[in-house]
Amino acid sequence: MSQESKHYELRFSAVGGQGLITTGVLLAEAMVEYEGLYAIHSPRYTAQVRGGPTKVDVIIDNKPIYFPKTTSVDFYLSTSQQSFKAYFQDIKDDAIVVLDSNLVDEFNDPKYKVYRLPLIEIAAKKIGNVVTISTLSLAVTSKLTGLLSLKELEDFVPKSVPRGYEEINLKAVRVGFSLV
Amino acid sequence: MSYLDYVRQFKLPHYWCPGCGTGVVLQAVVRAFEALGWKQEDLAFITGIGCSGRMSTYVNANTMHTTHGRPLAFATGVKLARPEKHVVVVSGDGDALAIGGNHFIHAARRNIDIKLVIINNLVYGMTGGQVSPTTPQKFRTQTTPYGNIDPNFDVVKLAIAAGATFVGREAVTRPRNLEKLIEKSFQHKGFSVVEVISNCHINLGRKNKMKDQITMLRWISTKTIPKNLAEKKKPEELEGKILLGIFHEDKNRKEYTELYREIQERAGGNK
Amino acid sequence: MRKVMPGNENVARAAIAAGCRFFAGYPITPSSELAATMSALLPKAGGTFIQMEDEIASMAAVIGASIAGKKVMTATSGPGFSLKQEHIGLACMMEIPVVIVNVMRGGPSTGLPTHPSQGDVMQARWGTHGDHSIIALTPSLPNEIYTETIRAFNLAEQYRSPVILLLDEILAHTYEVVDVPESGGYETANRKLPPKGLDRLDFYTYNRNVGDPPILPNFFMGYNFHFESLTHDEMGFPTTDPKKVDLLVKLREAKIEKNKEKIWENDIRMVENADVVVFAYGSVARSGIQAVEKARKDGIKAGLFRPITLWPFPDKPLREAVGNKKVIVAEMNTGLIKREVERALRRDVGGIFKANGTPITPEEILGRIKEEK
Repeated sequence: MSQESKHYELRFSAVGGQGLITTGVLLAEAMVEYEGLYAIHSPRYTAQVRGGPTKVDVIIDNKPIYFPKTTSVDFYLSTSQQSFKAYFQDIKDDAIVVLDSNLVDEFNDPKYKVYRLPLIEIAAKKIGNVVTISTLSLAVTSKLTGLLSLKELEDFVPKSVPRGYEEINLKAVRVGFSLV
Repeated sequence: MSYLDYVRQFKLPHYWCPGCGTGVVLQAVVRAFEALGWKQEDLAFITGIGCSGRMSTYVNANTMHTTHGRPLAFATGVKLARPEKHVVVVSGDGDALAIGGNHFIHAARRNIDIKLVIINNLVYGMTGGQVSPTTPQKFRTQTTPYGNIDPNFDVVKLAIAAGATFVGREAVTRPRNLEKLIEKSFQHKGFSVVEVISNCHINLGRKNKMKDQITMLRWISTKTIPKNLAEKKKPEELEGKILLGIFHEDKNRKEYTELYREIQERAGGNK
Repeated sequence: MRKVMPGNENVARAAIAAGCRFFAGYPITPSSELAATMSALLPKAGGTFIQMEDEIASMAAVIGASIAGKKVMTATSGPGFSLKQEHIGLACMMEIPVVIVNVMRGGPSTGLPTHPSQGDVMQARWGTHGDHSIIALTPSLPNEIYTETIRAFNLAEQYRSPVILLLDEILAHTYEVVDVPESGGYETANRKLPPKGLDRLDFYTYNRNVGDPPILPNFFMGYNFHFESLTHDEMGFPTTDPKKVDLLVKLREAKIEKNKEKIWENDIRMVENADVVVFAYGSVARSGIQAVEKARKDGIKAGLFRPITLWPFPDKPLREAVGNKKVIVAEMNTGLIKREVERALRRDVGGIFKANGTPITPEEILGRIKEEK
């Protein structure tokens, strides 16, 4: 993160159970650990535990964060059409928008830097387990924003995932970094 | 130690009406303490609200007079905090079975080592004689002036179904048997329930043609029959009778605070 | 410890550091993760966790465990807080140290389970029936949530009173950096106990100076002491003697009212030369800090009064700090604490009041500051 950009807001939205909340959690923890910054994340769930729209907002700052809600989102990643629409608020004009190309409809607003990637398909088929969507998305986010390096993720991810899943998540990180 | 050492004699005379069965239960309880030789400092005695609730004033131990229906929930906190101590709860039919019904079934389900004595006088006595979950049908009370239509709880069946591991019933008309039953229940490791059929001639008897304690105690005598005698009777002879004795005793089920100690060990925290 | 965690986990970790060794609770959004964290941490610390059959029972169980000598806590939210009121009153009457966490959500009734509110601030003060005094704390920032949790235990033990720690859905669910020294380094207070071996008849529990908290034995100390829910005399036994009742009422009130100066904790920022003062607490105070800082950058003389002890209400410190300056109260309710501010300042004040499940933003407060100045 460059010296000037002191405040960065990210949003991840999905369908409950897809694993994008974990992406937000991992990103916040990694930013605190590797960059020594303040980071917060606020998950928003609905009463519907599986299948409902969910999102997590992550705020990163070099000063303590007082207001814990996003007001001007710099980066938005979504893997569900319903959730993408439901949480398309406060998105900055030049924001990076990453969409799952199989699950979110065409979106061509020139205000945004839009990336369309078949994220869930890549996780399931190319990497070999759909649960790696969390770390795959973390890698794509890190690469596009420059918030974390591949080296940092290679160190952080294996110790942050359940035992036995280190290798496959490392694979997801490397694939994610090569995608964009 | 004499049973009188377990009584705060400076608080006497007690508060209950002349002839009330609650005093009989108090004596049975303190005689059980004497028989078991429990040290006062190791004994917590907890009551709820109602005539039974006032018993904690008279028992000379670590005592607590709590809220209506909840003494078992307080006792659960005390027992979990100090599992090595004896925890006794005395409650009433309104206290344990109506407002406290939820706490009753859940304490039984956990099988936590609390000794519960329910004084079942078939009515809310202290508040002036309103219908309770055990008031017999057709009886008149302050709130059933045309006769009670409410079916009753069978405390013994309820306790067994909920998971209590010692369940018995006695009547104040048989004080020696009552003492023995309470003593036995106090020796049991796990959740024990003793239901005591008692008299409230003032606020139930007077409304139902049993003006004094003798008439009401006689009625209790005719209504109740020891289990061993009942076994020899024909079903029609037992109609409407309340059986007395021990109905359930399970020494194999693990007690709750012992199970929690295992959790502490599994978590690595037991020092 | 530098760790990203939600407020619910933060409180649980602080409670363990404060010496809490017993927790009884019942699941309710948005406080459930607090109970879940305690269920994992307590047995490791040699303590006990139990999920009771309801909120009433969990409040009873913590009182029982406190009387048996443990430092105790329970946690809940709106509807559960209503159920706990019965035994919060009992803890006031019996003078039992307990910490109750209430994570506020929209109400009344089931309301807005997953959205924030500050609608329980009056219930925290007046929720249980009968005259009583109580302590309630409203931390705002992650490190403060940790240290105020420890203070809640200390105050409960020192004053033998229920202490209510008020969070809201935002503070409970936002994962943020908690950066505090490792547990163990904090000053922790323990309730005063009578020396062992006194003749119990020499031991007059309520024979104390007005303003002093009582010195009561725990269970199993060798005193056959009686804890009573009825109004009781100097020995702890039921009484209806008006003189004795009067004394007990006065003693219970005075132990908190006479020690207010020691219990109050306020964060007062840039008020001295301010034209406009924002009064906010809990999560809303964070928007307040940001708004006031921005206003100062824009050349507006704004200040902030942030009570961390909400009850007893900091009337005197507020009056002294604010004087005749303009005041904006910001709170996530229809203006409940505004009335207290008006009582303290003896005049009407304005504010931003929101009870629709959404937070009050720094921009909203800033806009109001600009209108007022």
